[in-house]
Amino acid sequence: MIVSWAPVIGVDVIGSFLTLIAACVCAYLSWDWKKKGPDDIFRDYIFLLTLAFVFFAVSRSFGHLVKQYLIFIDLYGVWQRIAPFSGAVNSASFIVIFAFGIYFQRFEKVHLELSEYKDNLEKLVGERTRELEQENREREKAQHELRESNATLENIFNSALPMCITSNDFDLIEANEAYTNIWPVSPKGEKPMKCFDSRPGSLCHTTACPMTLVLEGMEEVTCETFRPGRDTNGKTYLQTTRPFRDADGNIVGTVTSFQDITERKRAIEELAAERERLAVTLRSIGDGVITTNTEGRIVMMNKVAEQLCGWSQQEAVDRPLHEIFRIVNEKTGRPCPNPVDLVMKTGSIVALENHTLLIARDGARISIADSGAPIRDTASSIKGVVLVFRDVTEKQRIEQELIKTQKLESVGILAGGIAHDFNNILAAILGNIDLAIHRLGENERVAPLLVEAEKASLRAKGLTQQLLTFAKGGSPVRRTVSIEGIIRDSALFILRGSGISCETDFQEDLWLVDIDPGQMSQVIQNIILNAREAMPDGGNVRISCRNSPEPAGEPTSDRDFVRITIADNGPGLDRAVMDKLFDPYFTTKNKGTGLGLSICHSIITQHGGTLTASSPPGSGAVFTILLPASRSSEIAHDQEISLPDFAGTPARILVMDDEEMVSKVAREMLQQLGHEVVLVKDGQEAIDCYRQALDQGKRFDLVIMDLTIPGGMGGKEAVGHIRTLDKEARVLVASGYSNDPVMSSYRDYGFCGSVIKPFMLRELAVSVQNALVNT
Amino acid sequence: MQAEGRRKQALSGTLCAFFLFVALLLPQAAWAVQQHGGAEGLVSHQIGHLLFIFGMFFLLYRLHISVQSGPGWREFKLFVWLIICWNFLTFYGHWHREFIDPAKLLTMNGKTTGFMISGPMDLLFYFSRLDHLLLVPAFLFLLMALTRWRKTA
Repeated sequence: MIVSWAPVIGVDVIGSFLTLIAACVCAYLSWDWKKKGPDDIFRDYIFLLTLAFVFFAVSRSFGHLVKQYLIFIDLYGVWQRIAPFSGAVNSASFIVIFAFGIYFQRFEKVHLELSEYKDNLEKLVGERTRELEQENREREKAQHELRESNATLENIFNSALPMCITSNDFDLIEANEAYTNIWPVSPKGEKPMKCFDSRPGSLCHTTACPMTLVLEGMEEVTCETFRPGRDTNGKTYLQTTRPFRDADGNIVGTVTSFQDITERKRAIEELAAERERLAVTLRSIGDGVITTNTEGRIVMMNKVAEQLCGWSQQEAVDRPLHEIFRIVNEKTGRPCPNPVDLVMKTGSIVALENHTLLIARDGARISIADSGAPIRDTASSIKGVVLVFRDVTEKQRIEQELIKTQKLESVGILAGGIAHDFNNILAAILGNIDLAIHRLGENERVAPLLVEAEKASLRAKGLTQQLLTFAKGGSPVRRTVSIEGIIRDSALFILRGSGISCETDFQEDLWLVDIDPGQMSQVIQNIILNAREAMPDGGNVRISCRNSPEPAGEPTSDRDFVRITIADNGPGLDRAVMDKLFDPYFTTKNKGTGLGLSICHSIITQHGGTLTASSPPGSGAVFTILLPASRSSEIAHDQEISLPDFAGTPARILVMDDEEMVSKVAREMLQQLGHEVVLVKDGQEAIDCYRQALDQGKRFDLVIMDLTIPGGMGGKEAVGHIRTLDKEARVLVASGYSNDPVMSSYRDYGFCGSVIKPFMLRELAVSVQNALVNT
Repeated sequence: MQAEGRRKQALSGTLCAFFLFVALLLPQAAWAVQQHGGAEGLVSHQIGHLLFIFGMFFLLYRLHISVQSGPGWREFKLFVWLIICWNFLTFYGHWHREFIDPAKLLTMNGKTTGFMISGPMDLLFYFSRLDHLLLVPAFLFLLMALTRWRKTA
């Protein structure tokens, strides 16, 4: 079979071209690949192997193209001459490629070793890199944490109290914002300001400087720093200075913080002021105040409590209450329950039982009124007990005095009524007896009997006078006199022949007094009589009389007093007797009426004075009278009264009295004196009778009217009507109430005179005569 | 590792010595097919082909036992295989050219225009003249291999 040679030539030419191109592209690619890994020896190998193949391909392709070209142009001979060179180059390229082929092992080994080394190196580098990266991360983390820590510290530093750090040279090396808002500091970057320039103070440059003390070894120094304010009053800071150490613990300065204590200090001052105010208030309270804790131990007591208990607060504090505040029942003498225990038990206010006595430190017994209350805090828990007590001795005395006075008043009203009625009876008895004596004459056998009856009636009259004096609430018939004479006369009169000496001590310029001399004489006589009866075996009575500008027991009085003291050296008065001494009908004597001292008390009270009795231990009784001094300095003298002429000009007299026996005896007496008498029973009848007499032209020369008419118009009211009818009318007032103000001040009520029932003929004659004579 | 390396080196040296011994045992045939004439003889060229083939086989062996793998290496191995085939083909072509009857080469004006194929060897010879059908694909695989390596670099 014959095949064309043309395919051989075509494939050879085209293949050579393609091979040439592919070889060139391979050369480029291998070079480019090698360039990307210059340190890779295996790439060098592939590059060199590729170059060998390229050299082989180029030389062969170029030779084949030249061959085909020369054959094509019929120069086959030329090709035959150059073919050996082409073939030699081609063979040489085989050897080169062979060499590269067998040296692949070496390259591979080197490559593997290098790769291994590289891998190891890369591994080491990687590990080291990772270590470094880890270190970096840790370092960055540490730096981050350090920055965070610094930021946190800076935040804390700036958000904390004013704070600064000072070097050993007193340079302000650090200060937070709070500090710089208060005190100046140097701008950053400039020379630090000295601490004593930033906040100058009294301790700067002294041995007491806190920073100096810390640098000398003290661990902490606190003091107060005052920062004057621009617009305000400034602020006070509590400065705390501590050492500032470096990492080795060496002191490199001080760190100082400042706490604003202005408000706290102000609150403390206000609290102290409030406590002082409370203490002053407490100590100024007029009552005793003791506070205790819940265990009953004393916490505080005020001045009054100190005085009453006899313990000072310093001595009493923390002692049990029962040691300081010893209270017993006044009657039983048994200790009273501890008020603190009662308050703690009940939780409410507790009052002491009545008749409680406080036994002071010196043994003095003081009547007290007391109450205890719990001291509660804001949560209503009991924190202690407060006791408030007061001395009620004086109050009890006043209360007893009041009771006594009320008792006297009650008895007095009764006595007054009895005396009035009895006076009317006595008026009839005494008047009739007196008339009988006058009409019978002294030689009659019955005359002595009538005289005795008259004496008995007069004694009865005296008794009723005493009753009225005791009972009356009106004014005595006062005169401005010196008390000295009355006292001397009364004392001499009573003590005469008693074997009792009397010592008197009267101030020379003794003030005058406005008194009823008779009543006052009665008082002095009663008191001295008691002294005499208390000393049957003799003794001594001392009477002193002094001016007393500031009377004891009369704090509200603005008057001067005369003090009369009557003391004896008898057995004295015990407490039971003292309590009832001025009670009516109270007596320690077998024959006494029990009215003497009560009447004295009543008389002195009516004179605006006081009568008190005391009996100091070991001595007798002492009576003290305080009488208001007179505002006048002139003594009033008694008016001389001439004896009436029983046979005088007969007069026409109207007698008004509701008691028929009184009016009858009065008519008999007046008729005995020669007068014409008309009797009426009450004021209205007297007025009508007087008007009728005036109308008939038979005017009465005198009207005698009873002061009071039960159930009708009395003389006090009727006199006004009569004097309305006749301005020249003469009206006498007659009454058993000798102590009635009308009787002592009759002119003020329109009367021209007064006569006290029961009256005797002489007394009535004098009164009628005076009324008829005096205009 | 070092013991294995020495064993592989010994094996390579043994193979080289074997091929040289075979070549030296056939001096006549080598001279007989010499076409390059002059300073360049067919034997040396064929030895070149044999070394070429040996080198490529050795390379394939090393590639086979080595750990080289991944993109590009498969194309490179195909390139080596094609080069080896090409070497064998051209080795046969050079060798058969020395024994071919000149009458089988039809010429016209001194130029070859046809070939008379009388047997398989002639057919193989004719095919050896079309060796670019192996060489061009071989270089294309090399190009592909380099392209892969370059891309993965």
